[in-house]
Amino acid sequence: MKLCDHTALELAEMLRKRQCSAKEIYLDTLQRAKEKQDSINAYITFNDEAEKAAEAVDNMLADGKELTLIAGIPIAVKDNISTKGLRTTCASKMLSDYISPYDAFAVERLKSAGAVIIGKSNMDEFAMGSASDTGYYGAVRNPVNTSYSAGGSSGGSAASISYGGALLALGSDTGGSVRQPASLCGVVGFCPSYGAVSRYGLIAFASSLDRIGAIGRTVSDTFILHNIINVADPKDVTMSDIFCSFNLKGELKGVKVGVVKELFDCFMDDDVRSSVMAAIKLMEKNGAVIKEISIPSIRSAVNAYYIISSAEASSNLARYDGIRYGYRSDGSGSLAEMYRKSRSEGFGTEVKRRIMLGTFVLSEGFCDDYYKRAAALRRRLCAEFNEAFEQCDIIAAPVYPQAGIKLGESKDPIDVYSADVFTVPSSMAGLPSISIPCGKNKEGLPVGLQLIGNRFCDNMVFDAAYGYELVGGGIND
Amino acid sequence: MEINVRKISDLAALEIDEDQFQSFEAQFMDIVNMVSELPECSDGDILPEPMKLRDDTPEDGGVNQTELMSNAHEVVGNCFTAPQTVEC
Repeated sequence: MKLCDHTALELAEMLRKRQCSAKEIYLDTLQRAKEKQDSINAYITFNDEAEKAAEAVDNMLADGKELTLIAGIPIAVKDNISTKGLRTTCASKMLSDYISPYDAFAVERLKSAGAVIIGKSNMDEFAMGSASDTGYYGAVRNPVNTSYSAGGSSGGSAASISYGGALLALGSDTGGSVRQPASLCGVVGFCPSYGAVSRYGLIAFASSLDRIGAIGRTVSDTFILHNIINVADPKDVTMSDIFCSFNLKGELKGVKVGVVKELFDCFMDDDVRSSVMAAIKLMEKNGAVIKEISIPSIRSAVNAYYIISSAEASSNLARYDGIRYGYRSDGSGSLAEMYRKSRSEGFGTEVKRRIMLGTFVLSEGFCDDYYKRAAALRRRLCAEFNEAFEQCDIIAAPVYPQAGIKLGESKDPIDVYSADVFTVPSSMAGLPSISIPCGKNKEGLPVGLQLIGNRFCDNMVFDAAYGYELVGGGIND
Repeated sequence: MEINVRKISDLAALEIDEDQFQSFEAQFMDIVNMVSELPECSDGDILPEPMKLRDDTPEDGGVNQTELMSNAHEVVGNCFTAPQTVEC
């Protein structure tokens, strides 16, 4: 067993017992990442400064300094999270040469905690997609079966955790982009409450929905990473000041788990349904109380999500004009032509589609019928979730309707969008949620269980997932 | 409902390759039809929670002008460049 096959917590203990050095952990993990790069394509850029960071941790250990649990742990950072001096491309030709002059708040926190940022992970272009196949740097393949996608949009982050090319990873989740690849790669992915983690330095897709999430091999690993980045930051105006220290207990007894009947009426593969139901039954067997609940607007959330997220994307991505940063087309004539050609050559098809959908739903004559109705539905959905959480503590659901997304097959965008039905409702309401492995389909592809909590009940979500893991769920072999 | 996809691409300052336009337009219309299926929501009694805003206090961001301009395609005399917009 190589060092990179351990969990982050195991390695943290081994470091303290001097059973290995941070440099050995880093070199072992880098070797695995590079061995798998051609077949998985999890990374866009490796960090040349990582070895120095590992050596610094070893020096601190030698000096007897106290370390955080993530000190010396190799961490992948999704390539839409700004890293000072290391390019941040968003997997787009538009930003292929962009080097951020500052660190994202979450990255600042990792660095000051002694984490070793191994590299920038591959993703869907500007985080728009579910299969990590819309980016400029090619698709991310699933380490479990390379004919399949790693899921998206944080596919590189989830895949690297799965095969040992990183021990922990940061992803971003706008409508399921941490949870879906975590489910498909058989790892744990946590999307925090909106406002629990600063978005400062996260390159914007849809600002009212974007969140930075943690990915790890176990619930405990994911929890320690989340705890490092779950700190108040005045640079993000939407940050909450609700923080509380918490130790995972994993208590399932008496936890009221809601099962939303409208979600289980949706299409999903038989293997997904049976794995998720088996997970819910396991929780019940260990003391959880299962309750069927109703959230009438939940199935319309996906339509409203594509209206709102695209509207915000069209505004956020208007900044890419070829002037201050980003790709500029050569040989443009007028200013307007330069804008148009730079954007047309710099963005891929999926990003153009979303910008245009957003432009349409905000345009005169259509805004009332689309954007305003979607915003109203979002408010209704939030109210319905509030009612639901009067009846239960946690909601259990699938993450993705299928156990795998075959790469290379032509896909209709509306089929791809519709498959987000299980993840976007909690995104729209700003709720914390986690994907934890709960089984496999007949081909051995992983299936994830999603647990959703009430706003700012992030610890309860972690604890329920940890409880499920303790009683035998969440195994990723 | 008539939607002019070329007009929308103009508004978004984007061009769609001519050989892909027909399929792009068809998929775009499918997406618009999909998202238009929203239930009527009379949400007059549901008020959005007001967001607490912090004071907008200017402070030193720790990034200098050279660093901020280092990603520009071209910088001349500490200014970003763009094609000429006024005829001399």
